Amino acid sequence: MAKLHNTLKAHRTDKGFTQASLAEAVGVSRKSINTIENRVFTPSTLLALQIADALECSVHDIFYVKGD
Amino acid sequence: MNVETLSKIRLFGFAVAGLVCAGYSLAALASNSPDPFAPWLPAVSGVAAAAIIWVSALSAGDSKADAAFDEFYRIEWRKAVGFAYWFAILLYPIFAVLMALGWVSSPTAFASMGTASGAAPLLAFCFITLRS
Repeated sequence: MAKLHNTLKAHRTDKGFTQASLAEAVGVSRKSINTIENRVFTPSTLLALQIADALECSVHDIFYVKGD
Repeated sequence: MNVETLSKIRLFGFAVAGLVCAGYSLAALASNSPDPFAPWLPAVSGVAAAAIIWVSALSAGDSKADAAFDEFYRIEWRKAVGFAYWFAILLYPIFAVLMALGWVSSPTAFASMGTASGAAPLLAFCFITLRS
């Protein structure tokens, strides 16, 4: 079964963001960022785009599908 | 006030109101009385929790309140309400049996089921949030 994976943590640290500062930049709680990184929570399209925008990259750079 | 503090206040408010309602429900059942202790307490605890959360959100400002009540919160709340829906439905057959056996009077069942139904989404949310 195909599952959504992400490289959010790597992109976030590359850009010098902490979870809290990225959360503030996109207007969500730090826990939301943490749970996205740990794949507990799948963000909406809107939030995924906002995160990509804040990290100045494409959504496809952060989120990808793995598996069948 | 920051987003984390606001989230903690919300969790605390839900937990207190939920525990008061659950306590009332269990006490009503245990004593077979519709008013095992002050019957206004569950309602007041719920209103007080709502007021504290509302004032906290207001003092934190729109952007922080929006962040605290973001889509992850809404997903967790939806899960809690979904659980509470089925829990409330399950109470009917359980209390029907208890009443049919004569173990619980209908005023007690009304009080116990009502407060248990009120407690369910609040405590379920706390459980889901603390686990995630």
